[in-house]
Amino acid sequence: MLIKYKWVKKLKIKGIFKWLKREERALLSNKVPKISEHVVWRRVKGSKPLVIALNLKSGIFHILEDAEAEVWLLTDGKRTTNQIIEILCKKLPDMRSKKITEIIKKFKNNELINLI
Amino acid sequence: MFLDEECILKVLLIQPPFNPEYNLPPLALGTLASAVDAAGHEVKILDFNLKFKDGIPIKSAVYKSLKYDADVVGLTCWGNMSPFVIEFCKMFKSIQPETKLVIGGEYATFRSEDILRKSKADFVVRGEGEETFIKLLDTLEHNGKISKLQGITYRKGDKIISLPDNPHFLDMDKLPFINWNLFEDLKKYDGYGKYGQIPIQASRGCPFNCIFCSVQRTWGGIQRRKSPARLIAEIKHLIENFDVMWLGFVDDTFTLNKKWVIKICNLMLKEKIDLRWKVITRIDLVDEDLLSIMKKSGCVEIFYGVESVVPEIQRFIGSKSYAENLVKKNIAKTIAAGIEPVISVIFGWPIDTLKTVKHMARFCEDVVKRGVSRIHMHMLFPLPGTRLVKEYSSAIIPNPYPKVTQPDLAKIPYELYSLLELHREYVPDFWMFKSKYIDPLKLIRIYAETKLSIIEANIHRYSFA
Repeated sequence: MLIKYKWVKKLKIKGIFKWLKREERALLSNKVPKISEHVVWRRVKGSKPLVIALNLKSGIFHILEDAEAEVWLLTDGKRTTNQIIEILCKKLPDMRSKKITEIIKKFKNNELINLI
Repeated sequence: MFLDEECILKVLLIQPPFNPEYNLPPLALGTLASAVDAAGHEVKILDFNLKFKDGIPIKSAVYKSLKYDADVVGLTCWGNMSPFVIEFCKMFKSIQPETKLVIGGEYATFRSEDILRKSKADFVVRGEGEETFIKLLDTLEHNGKISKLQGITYRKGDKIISLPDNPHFLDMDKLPFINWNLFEDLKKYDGYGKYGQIPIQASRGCPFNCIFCSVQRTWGGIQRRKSPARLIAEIKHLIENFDVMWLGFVDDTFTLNKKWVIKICNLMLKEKIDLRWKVITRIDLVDEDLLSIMKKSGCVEIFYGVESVVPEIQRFIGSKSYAENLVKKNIAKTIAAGIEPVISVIFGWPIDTLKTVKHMARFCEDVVKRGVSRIHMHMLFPLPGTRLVKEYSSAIIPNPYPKVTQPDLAKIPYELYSLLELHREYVPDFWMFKSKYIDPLKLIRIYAETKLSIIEANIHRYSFA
């Protein structure tokens, strides 16, 4: 009985987390990612998209490749997350909206962008 | 303590943490420990920079040091070590007041009274420590009069007294060979453990009194050199006893005297010394002949302190007067000789303008295209004891982005960094000079963009190599 109860509790918690993540994604989709003022960046010339960004506050260099670079190059402070997802999903068939929101969250956590 | 004439002092020498990526045993502490050892005292070295890559709480550092039950504890102190040194000494003294605490090193030399007052330490040994520290130990051992010494700042009641400077000793050959066995964990230094690299000093002093540099005040304006024969004997000793394969000369202007360098190289060749070595020098103090013999005898890297190629900045620095073309030519000659050039440049001069900053940015991008892969970019900071600080103290402002402009700060672990932040006034790297002609934020953006363009060039170089 106790074991069963634990499972029910776990499932409920999992459900809450899933719901929270969905809400977070929904909230994010209407936000406009904007590159932070304390970030200096450069697109590296070449056939594949590659971006190097330097966070002046933390002193940390970030090398953004593939999907991360694609998202970064569309981050112009005007497009919403949804618009970025739309463009990238059309351009790259393998791209998933979940992945793009994860990348944007990662940028935010590294203080590379602000969400406005 | 200190009453028995026959007693041997137990001396603990401490290297404070400053940069976890620094992977060589500290030369200054090695030299000092060897001098203490040669004077007959018992000496131990505790390197907190090696042992605690993630930083170390002051309390742990103090308790680890207390275990040695030393009569005298000596600490090296450069700028970014000073917050650690101050807090360490305060806590150590509160637990074991009878142990004598001595602070030395470049930063302590120039702010001796201040650091003594703040730290509660007993003595600051100013300038070169080998002679002064031994004389201090002898005085303590025999209960002698401190006031008869030179180069010491000390506490007498509530007063801080600074005794006259100790003159620089002239005979470098009298320095003992460093006994690297005094380091318990020598192989734990990656530079030595993996590559067999050891730092070495062949000369002290520099005649070029650059406005931003403290070398002349630390080591004097005359280059005092070890004789080539003495140096070669030391190198052979290092190879035979410590399996050294790499030498990093720390001399500030190694090639100042071309004849001396050639003699050293010839002796290395004659003695069939198979070593790789690197040096630091000015870019106008090399030529094809010198580079060729340096390469033949094992030199693989030269660190050139170019600092600026802008004529008006060079005039401001006071002793740099080489044309940009000469810099580029000598870089090309170095590469042609098979030696890797490493370039050091400084941004953030108090007379900088948008034009001078862009000029330096273009220079960096250009030399990278010419084959230089390593450029050390720095922001000028106020180093105590320099002419710059005396003349431009009113232009010193907080650096808004110290972690990106002072690369060493970015490497310091969180715990230590918080300590440095608490004592910003002691850490030169947190400060910069404001120019009337350019906004500091604009300057830093150009600096950062230049860094990125160097990285981009290196990405291309290494991905297509």
